[in-house]
Amino acid sequence: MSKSKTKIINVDYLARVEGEGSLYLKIKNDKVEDIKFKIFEPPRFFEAFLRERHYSEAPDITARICGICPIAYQMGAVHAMENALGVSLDDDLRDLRRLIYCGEWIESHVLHVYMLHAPDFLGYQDAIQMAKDHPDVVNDGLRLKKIGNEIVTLLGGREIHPINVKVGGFYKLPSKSDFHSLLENLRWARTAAHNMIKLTASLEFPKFEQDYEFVALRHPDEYPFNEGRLVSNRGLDIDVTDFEKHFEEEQVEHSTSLHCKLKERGKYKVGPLARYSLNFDKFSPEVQKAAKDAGLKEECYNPFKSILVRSVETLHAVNEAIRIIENYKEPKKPGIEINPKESVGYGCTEAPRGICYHRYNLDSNGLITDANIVPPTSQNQGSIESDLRELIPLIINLPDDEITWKCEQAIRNYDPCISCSCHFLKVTIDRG
Amino acid sequence: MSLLIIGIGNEFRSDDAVGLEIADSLSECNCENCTVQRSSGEGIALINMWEDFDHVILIDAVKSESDAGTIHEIDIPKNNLEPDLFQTSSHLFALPEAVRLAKEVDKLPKTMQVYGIEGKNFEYGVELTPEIESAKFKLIQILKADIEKFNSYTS
Repeated sequence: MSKSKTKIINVDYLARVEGEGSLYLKIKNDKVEDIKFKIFEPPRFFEAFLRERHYSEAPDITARICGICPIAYQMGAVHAMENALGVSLDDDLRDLRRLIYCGEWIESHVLHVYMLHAPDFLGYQDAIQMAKDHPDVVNDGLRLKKIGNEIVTLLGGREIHPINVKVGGFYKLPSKSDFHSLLENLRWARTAAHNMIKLTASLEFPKFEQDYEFVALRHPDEYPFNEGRLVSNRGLDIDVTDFEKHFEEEQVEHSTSLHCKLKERGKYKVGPLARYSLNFDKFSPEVQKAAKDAGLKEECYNPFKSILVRSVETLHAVNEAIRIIENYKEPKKPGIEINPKESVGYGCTEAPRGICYHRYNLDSNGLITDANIVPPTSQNQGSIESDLRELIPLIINLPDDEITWKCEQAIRNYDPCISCSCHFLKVTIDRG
Repeated sequence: MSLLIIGIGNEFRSDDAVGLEIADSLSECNCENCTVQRSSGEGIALINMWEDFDHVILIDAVKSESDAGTIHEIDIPKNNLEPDLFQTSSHLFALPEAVRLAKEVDKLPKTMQVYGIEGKNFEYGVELTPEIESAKFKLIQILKADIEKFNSYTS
């Protein structure tokens, strides 16, 4: 009679991800018996903090959800409030909203690609070890990220938790001359982003195509940042206002972050691969060519190639920033006057890690009576666990430390922002 | 030649805000030849902030076995920063990693001084505990003296 063989791999603290999470794997007779991507960061109750606060405070409060992607939360909040209050911005202000989002995409993607994910592919423990052999690569990453910071600081008033974005526009607008040195830096960044694509294209990717349902925004005229319909490669095509009719969040025992699922089909994937695969036709010819030269097709189902797709999106963000700055005419007014009313507003934007949904209910004085925010990492937890379930049989014969590393790398494919995802927890008290 | 002072912290994590509060106090003083910045402590952003300066002072809350309010002083690059001392950061790439990376790519300033105030409470909240509040005022005086000394050397 053969003995059954059980192996348990426990990674108590995942390295090179934002926030605190862990991984539990139970393997029995070379088969995965249990996988838990555990999030144990304390819940942060942001939706509860927002209740009874004035609608105008939401952009600054929600920006505190994340130090890496505050703009994503600000944009979700302002667009939802503007939807509630019947406000639409003219093209000049709208472009500035896109520009500040370009800054955040550049910062976030560059940090992840150069400092967190590239070491996995190049066989280094971290970016510090990688810098010993590849200082030029790391220096390019540092300079690119600084340019993203400059955009956010110029438009947001400060680099971390920016304060210049308001419902209806901005508090203060930059003048044309404020962009002068930034534009010079962005021209350098364009070449650097092409090099970033070439660098990431040269990495070795495992064959690991997965059958995802991708969900992303899609806009008729542009690669999405702030606006569009929610679409998927399996027929979803809805207005953002219908998000809660099609998606639901549920609590799982092992996570302080809710898992979001499609009501009809369960898990789905958001983020760079989803955006890219559903919006390739919206890239400029230059970006499309760079992607194809790098070996990408118009859709990408290999999560390990997310590092390459992030590089392609960085080029897009740099080019979009240049376009907006070159065409910039200072708007006549920094913002639009708003009168509060009892209403409900919905917003969904493309954070670097994927769609970020906001809904706010307001009373007649403009006070928030209810709020719901669904960040990207809570939507991707099902896909992360599913990727691991598929990956482990392929690496089962490797030593435990290599299995651990590969699994961590597979999680880092998502650039999960665990701190963001833990702002709500349902508590059920069973009194028998 | 000027001096950069960076206050690091999270204003919603009780004692972790002490670096930011010190930065705010120093900003109000408008000290000569001194730039003051606030930071969440994300490491790459820190390198980006300090790379154009020759002389940098950083202030952060720390957690070790010392008494609450103890002021630790670490001279970089003579000494390394122990990551355990800065475990309060939620960032994946924080100050200790930034210092190590900056050494590798030659982006450390000529002088770098880190002041760490031993914190007691890092739970959600916006109040400093009394020992940390006292240490804050003490460190502000130390920093003002440092700025004066810096200006006397460079004038």
